[in-house]
Amino acid sequence: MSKNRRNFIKQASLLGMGMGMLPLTAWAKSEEKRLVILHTNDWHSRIEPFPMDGGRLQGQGGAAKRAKLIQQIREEGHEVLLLDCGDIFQGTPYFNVYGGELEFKLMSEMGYDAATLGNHDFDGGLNGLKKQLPHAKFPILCANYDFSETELAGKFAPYKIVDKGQWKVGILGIGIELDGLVPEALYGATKYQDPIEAANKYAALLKQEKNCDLVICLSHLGYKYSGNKISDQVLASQSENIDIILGGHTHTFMEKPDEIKNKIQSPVTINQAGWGGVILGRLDLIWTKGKTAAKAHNSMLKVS
Amino acid sequence: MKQNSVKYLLLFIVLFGQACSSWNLQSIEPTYYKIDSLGVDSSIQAMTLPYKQHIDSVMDVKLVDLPLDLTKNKPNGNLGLWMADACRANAARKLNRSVDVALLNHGGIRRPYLKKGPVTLGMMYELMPFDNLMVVLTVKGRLLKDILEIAEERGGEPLSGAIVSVKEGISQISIDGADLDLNKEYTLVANDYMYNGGDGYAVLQNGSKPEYLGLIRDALVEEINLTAEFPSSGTLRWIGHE
Repeated sequence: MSKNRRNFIKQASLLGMGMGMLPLTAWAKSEEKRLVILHTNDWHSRIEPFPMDGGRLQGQGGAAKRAKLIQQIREEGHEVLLLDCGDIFQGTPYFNVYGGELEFKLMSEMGYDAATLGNHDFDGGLNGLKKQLPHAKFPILCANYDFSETELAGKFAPYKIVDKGQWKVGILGIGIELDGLVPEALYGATKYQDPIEAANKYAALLKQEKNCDLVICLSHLGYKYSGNKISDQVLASQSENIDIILGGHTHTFMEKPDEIKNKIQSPVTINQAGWGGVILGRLDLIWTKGKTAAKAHNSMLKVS
Repeated sequence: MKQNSVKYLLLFIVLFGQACSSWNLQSIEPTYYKIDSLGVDSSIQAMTLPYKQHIDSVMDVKLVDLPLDLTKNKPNGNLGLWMADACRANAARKLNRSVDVALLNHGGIRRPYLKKGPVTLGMMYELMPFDNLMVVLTVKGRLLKDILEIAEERGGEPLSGAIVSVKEGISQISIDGADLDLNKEYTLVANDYMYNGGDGYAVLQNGSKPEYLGLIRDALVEEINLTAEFPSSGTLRWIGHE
């Protein structure tokens, strides 16, 4: 793609000079900036790499290696957003023994900007989660769980606006239905609300009223299902102001992001990064200076 | 092709030819990094160390040398079948009477395998990290059939004590070598997650009052040493559903 763009800019410049009248200097300079989004999901307390026992994922993952990679990416000098899509807890004795304390501490140290709640983040009960929250120095966002009748009332904002360089990024969190997935004794009086309604409500607020340049939904709904179950694909198709859905729950290893048309035929990018901390997902958002909102990714650049 | 290019170029110029004042998202480029042979961040490692030392001292306890690979697979993976066997045997031991059938949920198996060789307590926590309890119920054959039908619709689940043949739905259920009797009472062990409606098993509540028998994980730890014969990799308890 970038080759195409360079090509295009070259051609455009030549054309501009030939016509001798179009102010293409801004393009000739090829002003371009990157916002880098890094994301993980379904870490499941895999603090250490998978053990060397002949399994498919042996030796992969590990918080210390992930942190090193994140540091290297930060050193590239672009603005970086670091996000997680839930199920941080449960899966190794680190959770059974320490209840998620180390997971939150390490994510804070790595500089996570935000996360959302997965179903397994309830595995220590509401009280267990509450006890660990002081260790999370990043906001945990959820727009469709109502905690108002629980001891966690007020602990989870629906969204957060993050300023990264010149961009104002709106981030919201969406959780999966808890009934039948999480024992009621663990989620207590938490009320699950329609994810599409909640996502659209807050995305509209972020895009239209708060004038965010970009709206990212951190989702733990799952990428896609064979039935009618609400998924990231379904949410994308019924959304209006979301640009990117970063997902989890289905532990999906993707070869490339999915792109789904939303209600008004604009593309929504869906991505997910496997599970267990063995993949770090990265999306480079490439912005160029111009007047038209070219939200249709790449569509202006089909020149060759 | 060339004509098209020029058209696009002209369109582009019309759209962008005026003052370029704001930043627009042009493209999104993905990368997936495999966290594999990378260096480590020393501060993260230092933060982890005291936790790791404690965990290792508690969890690196060898329980058994496993004589074969146990693998998670739907519906006849021998890891799930062994877990069901172990729960059935453990419940029978605790109740001091026979237990006919054990049914667990495939989704509750949280480690894809136990490899031949040493198995540690830590691996058992990874296999069954949840503090799920064993639940024992008395169920009529009719209800047991309903329960197994749910399991069948879910693609088969870890099962012990029964063999289910499937041909466009369940065609036969065999319990201890005999056909399921719809009017007979059977003892079933499942887990409290399923009993409370998890994975669609709310129908379990139509059985007798439940009896709780302690953590599934503890039962597995006890039984892994006592298991005389592990299910081999070709064992079929869901026939026609492989």
